[in-house]
Formats: sequence, structure tokens, C-alpha cells
Amino acid sequence: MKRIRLFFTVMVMLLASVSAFAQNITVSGVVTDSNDQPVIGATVMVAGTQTGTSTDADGQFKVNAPSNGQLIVSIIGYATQTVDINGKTFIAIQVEEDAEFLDATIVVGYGTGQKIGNIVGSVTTVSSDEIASRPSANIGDALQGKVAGLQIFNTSGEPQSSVSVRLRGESSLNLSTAPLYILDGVPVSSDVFNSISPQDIENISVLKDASSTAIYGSRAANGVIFISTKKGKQGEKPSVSFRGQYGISMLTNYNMEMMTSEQLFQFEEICVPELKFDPAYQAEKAFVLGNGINFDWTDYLFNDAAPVLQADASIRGASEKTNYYVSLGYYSEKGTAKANSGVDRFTFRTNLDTQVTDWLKFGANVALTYSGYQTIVTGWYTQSPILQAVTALPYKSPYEIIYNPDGTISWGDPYEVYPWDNMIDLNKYYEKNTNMKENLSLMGQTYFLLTPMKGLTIRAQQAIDGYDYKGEAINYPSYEPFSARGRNSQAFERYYQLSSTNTVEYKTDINKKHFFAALAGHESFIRHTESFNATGTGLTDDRIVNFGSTTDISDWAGGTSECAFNSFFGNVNYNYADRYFLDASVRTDGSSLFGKNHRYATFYSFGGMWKAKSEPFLQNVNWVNDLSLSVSYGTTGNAGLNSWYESLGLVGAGPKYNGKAGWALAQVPNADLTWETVATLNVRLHTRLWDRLTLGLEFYDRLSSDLLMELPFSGTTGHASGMGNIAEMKNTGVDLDVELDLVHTKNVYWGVRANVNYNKNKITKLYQGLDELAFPDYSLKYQVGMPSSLVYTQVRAGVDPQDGAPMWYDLNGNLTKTYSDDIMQFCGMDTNAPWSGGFSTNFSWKGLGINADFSWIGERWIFINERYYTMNPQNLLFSSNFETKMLDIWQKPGDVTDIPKYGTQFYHDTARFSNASFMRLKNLSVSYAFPSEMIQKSKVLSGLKIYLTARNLWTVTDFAGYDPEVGASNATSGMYPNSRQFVFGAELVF
Amino acid sequence: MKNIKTILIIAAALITFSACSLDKFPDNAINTEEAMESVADCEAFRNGLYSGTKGVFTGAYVYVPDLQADLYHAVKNFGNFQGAWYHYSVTTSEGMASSAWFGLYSIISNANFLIEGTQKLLAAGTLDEADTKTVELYYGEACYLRAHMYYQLCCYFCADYDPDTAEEFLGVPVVLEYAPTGDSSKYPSRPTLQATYDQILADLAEAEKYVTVAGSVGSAYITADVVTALQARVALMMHDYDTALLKAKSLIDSGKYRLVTDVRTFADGWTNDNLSETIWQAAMTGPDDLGNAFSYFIYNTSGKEGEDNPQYVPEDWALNLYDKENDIRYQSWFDTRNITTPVVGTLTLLVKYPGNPKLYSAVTNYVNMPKIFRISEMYLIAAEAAVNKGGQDLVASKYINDLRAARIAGWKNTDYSGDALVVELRQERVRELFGEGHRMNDLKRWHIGFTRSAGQNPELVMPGEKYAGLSMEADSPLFVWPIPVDEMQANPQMTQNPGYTNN
Repeated sequence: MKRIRLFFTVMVMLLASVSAFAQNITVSGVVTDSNDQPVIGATVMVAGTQTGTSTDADGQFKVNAPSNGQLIVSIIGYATQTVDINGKTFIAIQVEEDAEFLDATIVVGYGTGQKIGNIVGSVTTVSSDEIASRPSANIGDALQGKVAGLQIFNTSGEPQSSVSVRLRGESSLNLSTAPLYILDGVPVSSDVFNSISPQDIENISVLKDASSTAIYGSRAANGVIFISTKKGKQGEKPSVSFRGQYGISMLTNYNMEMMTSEQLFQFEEICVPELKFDPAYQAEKAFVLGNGINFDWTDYLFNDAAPVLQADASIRGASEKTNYYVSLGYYSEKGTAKANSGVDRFTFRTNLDTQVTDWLKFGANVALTYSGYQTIVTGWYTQSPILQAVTALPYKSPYEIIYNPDGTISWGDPYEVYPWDNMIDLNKYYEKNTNMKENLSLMGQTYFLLTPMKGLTIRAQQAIDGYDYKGEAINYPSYEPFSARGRNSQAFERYYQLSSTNTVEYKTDINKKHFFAALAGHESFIRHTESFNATGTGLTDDRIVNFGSTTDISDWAGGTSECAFNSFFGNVNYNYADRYFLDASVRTDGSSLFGKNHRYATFYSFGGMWKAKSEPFLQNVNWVNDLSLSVSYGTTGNAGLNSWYESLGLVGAGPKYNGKAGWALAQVPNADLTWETVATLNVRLHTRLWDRLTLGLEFYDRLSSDLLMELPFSGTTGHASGMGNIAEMKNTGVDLDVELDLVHTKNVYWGVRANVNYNKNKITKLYQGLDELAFPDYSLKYQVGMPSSLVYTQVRAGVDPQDGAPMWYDLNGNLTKTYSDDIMQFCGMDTNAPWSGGFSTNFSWKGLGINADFSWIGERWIFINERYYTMNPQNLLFSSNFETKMLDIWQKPGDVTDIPKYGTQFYHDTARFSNASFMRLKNLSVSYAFPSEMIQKSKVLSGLKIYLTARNLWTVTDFAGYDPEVGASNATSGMYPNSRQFVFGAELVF
Repeated sequence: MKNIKTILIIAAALITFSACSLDKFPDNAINTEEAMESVADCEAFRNGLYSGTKGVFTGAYVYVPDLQADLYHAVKNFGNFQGAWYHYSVTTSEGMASSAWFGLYSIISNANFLIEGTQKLLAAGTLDEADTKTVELYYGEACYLRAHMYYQLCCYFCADYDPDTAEEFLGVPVVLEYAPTGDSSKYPSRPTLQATYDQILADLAEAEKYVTVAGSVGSAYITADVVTALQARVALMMHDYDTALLKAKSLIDSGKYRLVTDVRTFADGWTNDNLSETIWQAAMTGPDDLGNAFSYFIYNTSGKEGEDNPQYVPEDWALNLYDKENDIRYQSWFDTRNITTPVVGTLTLLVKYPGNPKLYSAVTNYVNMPKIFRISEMYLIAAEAAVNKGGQDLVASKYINDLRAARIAGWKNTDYSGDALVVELRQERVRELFGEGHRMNDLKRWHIGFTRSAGQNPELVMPGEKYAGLSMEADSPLFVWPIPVDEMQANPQMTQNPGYTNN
């Protein structure tokens, strides 16, 4: 010890002598932020030396430095400051927050971001805690009902399924109506909803108006969904957290009321009265009823406790120069169908930012996702479990009946093929016919941020978004009922998008009154997709089913597509004294998708906001906490074409003659083909009153023009149709958001939130001055002045009580019994819901929290294709079960009923539609966070929370199909039904 | 400040290097602008063009005009298959009218593209002699096919050609270059029938010049003889009897195509598509290379023996025209069978297109290769031209006798003249060309109507004046097909045919 002390003494003396020589002085000081709060842990270096120190808990520091030297103060999250000492011994240094790290700042668009309250455009943000614990592989599900004007449908209960997302009505007739997805500044495909782990999300912002979306140009017509992932935070203690949750899935409310065995016998006897005297039929009936056979096919085909589990771990923190977020996650869900369906997903993410020098910073976000999932056949096929569950006869059982000697019966094994109707047993089918898919997706980006001078930021970002997919469908050789057995079908797909985004931004102010920001940028990206698939046949043994063992190859296909965009954009915004805000954006997009003559297009927006609360006359009005009014107008585009080569004239191979390959003209060239444009006017009023009530009201008017349609051509051109930019359509609507804090005390909080959207859609122009364009086969007619999605069909007017024949209204409203295309008409049913919304309530008392989220839509009509089975005895008596309402079938003159007599042809008309309005308790969760005093005693944990969550717990609907949410466009037909989950979870923070 | 310079240079470099090319092309198709640059390209388009002939001379293209006429009866419960044509309830949205209109013009547009391409290639003057010959042949073939497709369009969509009225009646729009557009103001209107036929003749003249390949039996490709045959057919239609007689006679006299005289060879020729009298037959090579099935409506939908379920059966009067004992045509093309669906009973069915065994694997699909021209038609054209020229009844009689001598065992030559000759000639066309799609055109050319007669078995056919009892006046406007509604809506310059509402 002595030696050490001696050593230090010598060292100090040496240092002191050196200092004396350099005329050093001791400088002390304090570092504060713009709110005059002390900044802890900031590095204070003496310029040009290795000497330095850090600020303490009060933001203070003391350092020896040359009296004419400089101090450099740096800390992540703040702009680096250089201060001249000029002989001073005490220096107060104020550092400014680096916009990239500001809590209240969000980046929507390019650049370093803005304070939320200063954004002129319409942006709604959903935070991570509303997303993280939801038992769904698709994070889109958690957004349902959260954002006014954002309609989300979970159109399938398949664990690995996509959601349908639509913002403020349908802006296009034929192109994509999906929004643009941006992940940490990188445009990505909608698959991101399935491949990102919900725990990694910091927040999701939905950009609705032109002011916020025009900077994205030709892809932003349907709005932008901006996803930000978590980053380590400076000043926050590094934390390690674990979350585990486990639960079960079952079918949601099941709304189809089907007949029991007894009812079905009764119904069959109504239809065919002779059966009452048919000894064989009566014997069968007595047998079934006597043995109590009333088979529950839904229960046979669906699980009521399919497991769903999720486990996540993450580390988040920051060191002096670097902040980090690293996570890994596992998600596993079995489908409710007993047929093999489900998903296993592993996610890995690393987000890293580091300040290299005072002018250079870089970072990388890399996420890898592996999903392995098994899918089953859904839709209008005999292999669709829901279709079989709905239609199978309740007086039959899949189990073979064993007749015991004593006259009783018992049940044997299930049949492979049901002897009474030759249908296959689906549980057995899916054991021997599998469809395994694997997807490996990569989202990676790197960026370099240069700040050569104060206010100037140059950012270069490079990113990749891609996946590699493999599907393998095997039809095992031993499965005899299937003629195409012994097959192995392989499908490979690879997709990537490479993008490069470079921006220059300059922010400055004059006297802290006039704030300017200007940004210019360039973005390029290329998308590439390729696929290959083939089917091998000739497998003979279940133990060897690999592709290589097949003997013949059939149905092979493959190809590559590519498209590219080059864009330039700019944005300026100005704010005077935090009161008046102006914002303008412009973007020029060039794309390979469009015709030579219209390859480049320019989009723009202007917006203004008046923050009335900042006016002197409101500053002292205490009950008004916030009041602002903003208006924006601008354009965006839609480039969501089905094919990437629509503008080209194409010659295709295919027609052959006499054994020789031939070519033929295949696609009409259209050098003028260009994007659809949506011009949006948005007016927004936002206020918060009495520190309790937040109100947001927005009005919008979106005019879609140059809508792309398959334009009918004169046959003399050699083509029946070609793509053209030819129609116009308008969506007008209102978004309303209300937030009310009912109770807000130290320990208790209870608040409610609600949002409502009303959207009115109408077609304003069709090509060549046409007033209407009918597609009778699709129950659709486009008519100027009417919504684009109105059902156009024959209107059922009940049943004639005299003869039991169905009646319809003709175009004059008179009754007719003649069914024809001539009486097709609009019937007031819209397949797109004009009304939608959600509401939620949050209650917390100390550590206890209760949260309920509802979402609802109103006035949406869906075609129930299953009714072809469930209401069609004339074709399917004795082979299908029916809805109980069919017992009201017309039997004799004078019967007043909606069900026509037996023997009537089954018609396509309004009787097959049902109102699919619904309100769903999307999420109900109860959580308890243990008090921190208690947790800290453990010395290890810093937080512990347990929770119970129920998804899709309760649904209110009049819909007559099995689930009102299932039905991608306007019909349900054997889709995978939605599921309900009960989940228990725990979250531990160290 | 040094930093800034460096940074700006880096930024500029990043933008330059990251810009992508915006010219992207698919890998499964060729940009139209670059699709016709070599002899090989021309050949590919030629194959594509020929491929179309498998479709437009088979199936509904052939039997629909016959259903409109008096050759068939619909049986009871016939399911109304193509019923609108049969009972004259056709609207502008009738499927086959649309298929024919768009289908034939599609071939014309491909022909136009090939004609432009070959002309450009020839004009460039870079081809050697052999290639020049080849490309000239392709050019001639394309001209021929364009002519033939316009002729087919006229047969379906225009009134009969009569030199006296051809300037009054409307033809079909003549389009001679490939320039598709969505601009409806640029769509063509209908010229006169005369103008349309003028174009057909002009194209045939070009074809005659450049298609010099000698004819051969059953040729899969257009030959000089094929050009001659269409010239004969068109000339007869245009009342140009000198040319019709001259052209038909030249083919008959060449001796290249022999009329079949024995029933076994004849039946085999129709089944296996190897008749010695075929001038041009569209080639099909196997079950994955087919035209349209013919006989779905005529006799069987399952393809299995004993499961015949005809929707349409030949009318009795037509069957009775044949010498059932001795005529090889009757023996090869008709068969009396017991039917269980859709009616129960015994009926004589048309079995002219039983399906070529090379074109199916297990069960027949009723696809045969279309015999677009047979030499027997030339006998009938020659005879009809001779009659119409006047003063050549003996010549006409001879052609009829020659044909009958081949078809009917023990036929004794008989000389006909005057009205009797006309009757014989017309009946012979029914006998020889039954089920080959000529009947409606014949009725139009002869300006006669028809009354459907009593059925083979009146109990089994659809009764009523719209069906078995239908009567149509001569030159009914409804013999002419409607311009399809899709065309009417897309093309403001288009004129609908009389008798159809313009919707």
C-alpha cells in the first residue's frame, strides 16, 4: 500500500508540474439541457488532449485545462458543443437535444424528425404497449380499431395470415389499396406485419394526409404506416427483459345455426313428404334418434384449446458513445383446425447507433426472421374444414358404427372416405397431405450521419428487405382416396429490395423566433423477385417422400421480375414563434413500371397550422391546454400494379403449330400508362381541454384520378382490352378522436378513448363519358355518383304465400317472379363499410391495470357463399346440413315465409348477403405490476409484471355467416375462421 | 470545411451509384418493338398465326352457323346449349358472336404484325436469296390468312355479297396495320361490303404471288392450291362465276386430290384425319395441342360408348337426302343409336367428328383436325359457277355426277338441267358438306329461307314454333350475327347489324 501511495504522489506531482508549465487552470461548470435540467454523464474533454472528465449527478464537472483552450462537451442524444474557456473558471454549458433522440420527436418522412405537436400533417401514433403482448402473429391485428379511418380485417384465422388494411376508404378500383410500409425509414413490403416481433416496436405511426405522405410520392396514395423499432436510450439504465406468455386458441363466436339430426330429419320430411311412409328412411331415423346421434362436426374438425405461446428477451441500453437494442423472440401458434396448421417463428434484431466523432455517426438495424408454417386448404374446396363443419350431416358420424350383439352400438375408427357421400375425412387427409412453408426474411439497414456544421445533417442510408421462401407440399403415397397421391411439389421464391436513401437537411432559426428546416434527398430502389416450382410424381412409399425420389416432373414454372424507382424529393418547413407553421413537400418519382412517355411524375403538398394555444391571448386561459387548426392539400400516387410490365407491348410464347413453337401478340403497349393520383384536402382541429379531454376532428376529401382499369378495346385492334388511366373516384369523410381522463389521481387512472370514421365513396367519372359500367357476373356496377362497391344484383322480395315461389323487385319496384339480368339493381348494400371505429378504456390502480379495446365497423354487407350449401335443399337435400331457418320453408298456400318452396332453383340475389357489421372486444387484458419497493428487495429484478389477455373475447353482430371479419373482399366462402385466445404472461426486467 | 468538401463528394457519388436503370423487361415475353427482327422471329410469328387456324375452323365456329339453319333438331331437355342461335334469341351479348369477332380480329392483328415485319425485313435488303424466299413466303401466308379471316368475318357478320348491293351493305372494318390504342376516336367504322371484299381479293392476289409452294394432300400449311381454293370459294360468293369455275376446275384437273370412293377409307379418313381429298388441314400433334371439340352438342358429352346424350340431332329431311344403302357419306357420318339421356329413344346421330385417337389418351375428346378445303367442295363450286354462268348445265351436271359416282356405289350418271339441276346441286351441297358450317352461307347466297321439318322422332325433339317448327324467311337479317356488345360499347364508330338492339 505504501508503495502505491508513493507512486501516486509522484504521479500527481509530475502532472502538477506539467500543468504548471502549460499555465493550466481548473475549470468547473455545469451542463444542462434546454429545460435547464442537469445532464448526467456528459463527457467534457479538453480540446486537443486526452484529458477529460464526466459530469456528475448534478451535471457538474471540474477539469484542468489551458486558460485559452476549449472544452468539448458530448453525450449521446445531444449535439456536441465546443466552448472557449477564455480564462473563465466556471462555465455553464447548455447542450441541445439531438433530434434523433428526442422522446417527443418522431420521424415521419425523411430527416431528423419533428416534435409531435409541430407536425402539420395528419399523423396518429400507436405505442408499443398497445402492441407487444397481443397473441397474434400479425401485428396488424393489434392496430384494429386504434386509428380513425384505418380499417383492418383479419380475413383468416390461419396463424400465419395477412391482414387487409385500408385507410380512409378505397382509393383505387384495380390497384393495390394497401398502404406503404416504412420500417425505420426503409420502404418494406406488407410482410413486415408478419415478420417483425411485436416487442421490437417502439411505435407505429399512421400517416393520413398529403402533407405527411406526399414526400413518399407515387406509392403513398393509401397512406403510410411508419414503424419505428426500439433503440437504446441514453440516460436510461441498461435493462434486460424477458417476457413469456402462454395461452390457448379456439374458434370465435360461431354464428351459423345449423340443424340438429332431429331437425334435419324433420326438414327432409317437409321437403319430401313421402319419406314419412318410407320404411327404410324411418328405420334410419329411429336408429339415429334412438342412439342419440347428433354429431358435432365443428368440434370434430376444430380444436378448442390450441396452444399459443410467445417468449421474448431483449437488452436495451447505452454506453457513452453507443446505444444498443438486441432482442430475440419466439412465437408459436397452432391453428384451431385440427388439420395440421400453425406457425413457429424466430426473430432476431440488433439496433445499434454509435457516435464516432463529433461529426460522424453511424448505425445499423438488422433483423432476421425465420417462420416455419403449415397451411391447409381453405375456400371453396372440399378440403376446407369450415366448409365440411358447416355442411356435414349431423345424423352421420365420421366414426364407423359397430353394432354390438346386445343391440347397442359403439364407435370404431374414423372412415378415410365417408361411405354415404364419398367425402374425405379431413383430419385423416391432412395427416397424409401436408403443406409446409418456410420463410427466412431479412431486413437490414445501415446509415451514416454527418454533421459537418451546426444544423446541417447529411444522411446516407442503405437497406435491404428480402426473403427466401420454400414451400413443400407432399401427398403421401399411402393416402388412397386422392388420385394424385405420391407427389412432392416444391416452390421456391426469392425477393429482395435494395434501397439507397440520401438526404441533406439544414435547420436553423433567426432569434429563436423564425425556425426553418429544409431537406433535399434522393432515393433509389430496385425490387427483384424470382420463383421456381415443380411437382414430382411417382412416390410409392411414405418413408421416402423427398423430391429427389419422384420419378416424373410435371407442372414446372419459373421466372424473374424486376422493377426500379429513382426519386428526388424535398421538404421545407417554417415556424414562426411556435404559432404559425408552414410545410411544403415535393417528390419526383421515376419508375420502370410506367410507360415511356410518363415515366416521371411529381407529387407535392402544402400545409399550414395555426397553434392557437401559443397565441398570447390563449396562453393564460388555463382550461385550454392545446388548440390547433391545420389545413393541408397535396397529391400522392398509386403504383400498386399487379404486373411490373403493364406498360409494355408484349409478345408471348405459347401458341405452337405442327410441333413448332410460335409467338403471338400478348399485351397492348401503352407508353402513356402512369400512376393513379390521389389529391387530398385535409382539415384538422385538435384541442385538449381542462387537462382531461382531448378532441381531434379531421375532415378529408380525397380525389383519385387516372384510375387504372382494363379498358375495353375495339376488337379491330386485335385485343379485347388494355390497361388505361381512365376513371375518377372520390372519398370524403370525417375522423373523430376523443380521449377523456375520467379519473386522474396519483394512484388511480381511468380513461376512455374512442375513434370514429365515416367515409363516403363515389365514382365521379368513367371512361369515354360513360355513366355506368356493369359487371353482372361479379354483382358489381360502377356508376357515376354511386359508391364503387355497392352490390348490384337481383333484389329478393320474399316468397309468394300462394305458391311458395321466390319474388324479386323489378326496376320499377313491382314484384316479379322472373329472374333475369334485367332486374339487377343497386340494393343499398355496400361491401365496404362506410362506418368504422374503435374505443377503449384503461383503468389503473397502483400496479393493477385493466385495458379493454373494442373495434367495430358498420354497414358492411358480405356475400355468404356457404349458403349455396346451407340454404339450397333443391340441389343438396340428403347431402348437406341446413341452417335452422330453413325449417320455415314454404309448405302450403297461405304460409308467409322468406324460404321458397322445396324444388325452387337456388338463385344468386340479395338473400345471399348478410350485414357483417360487428363490434368486437378485440382485447381485454388485466395486468399487475409488482410494486418497485418490493421488487428492488430482490436486488436482481427491477420490474415484474404479470398479465392475462383475451383476444376476440366477445363479438356483437347480426351476421349470419360464421364470422363477420372473415371475408377478404366481399364474400365468405370456406375461409379459415377467426380465433379467440386466452393468454397468461409475465414480464421480468433486470 | 475540408470535411464538407469530402462529404459532398461522397454524397454525390452515392447518388450517382445508387440510381437504377428504369428500363425493365420481363423474362417470359418480348417487348413488341423488338420482337420482329430476324427470319427466326418471322417464323415464330408464322407458327403463332397458323396456331390460330386450329381454333377458328373447329367447334362452335363450325356448328353454330349450322344450328342457325335447318340441319338439326334440338332434342327435348337439350339444356339450351347454344340455344339462342337455334331459336333465334341471340342478343348482342351472345358468347359466340363475341368469341368470333375478337378471335378473328386477333389473328388479323397478328397477320398485320407479321406483314409489317416481313416487309420491313425485305425492304432492308440484308437477306440472302434463300432467306428472302422464306420471308416472302411468310408474307404471302400472312396475306392469305388475313384474307381468309376477313372472309370468315364477312360470313358471320355481313349480309350476302351481291354485286348489285355490295356498295349498300356494310362490311367489317378493314385494319391493315398493328396499332392498338385505347383512344376510341381512332377506331375504324364499317366500310361497304364491297370495300371489304376488295381487300380480301387484294390480299389473295399478294398470296398468289408469293405462296408458290406446290399443293400436297393434307398439307398443314398454305400452298398455292389453298390460295386457289379460297379464290374459288370467294369468287363464287362474289358471283364471279368465271373465276370460280376456272379456279375450281384447275384444282380438280390437277388430279392431286382424289375423291374417296370406298366407305372404309372414307370413315378412316374422317377419324384419323388422313383423307386423300384434303387440300388444307390444320395440324394438331397430340392431346396437348388441340383445336375446339366439335361434337359435344351433336352427340356425346361423356365420350364413353353407350353414353351418347345428344343435344342436337340431324333433321330427317337431310338424312333422307342420302341413298342410305349406297352412299359412303351416310354410312361414315351417321349412326343410329339408343339414347337414354336427355331423352330415351332411338336416334340417328352425326358421328362425322368422332375424335382422332392421336389426339386423346383414353376417352375421345371429339377433336378432329379441320379439313378447311376438300376437293369435293371444288366440284360443287365448279358446278354452281357453271349453272350461274348460264348455258353450261352439262358441265355442271358432269361435276355433280363425278362427285356422286365417287360417293355412291353403283351411281348412274344422269344429266340435269334448269330448275332440276339447281335442286340437285343444292341437295348435293347438303349431302357433301353436312356439319361443315356451310349451310347458313349457302342459304344467304341462294336467298332462300327454311322451315324446319318433322323430326326423326317427333316425340323426342323440342316442339314449338321456336324450335322444331321454326320458319325463317329468305334473307332474314337474323341470319347475320350481331356485332358484339363489347365492340359496340368500345367503338363509337361501329354500326350494329339490322335486327339487333344497339346495346
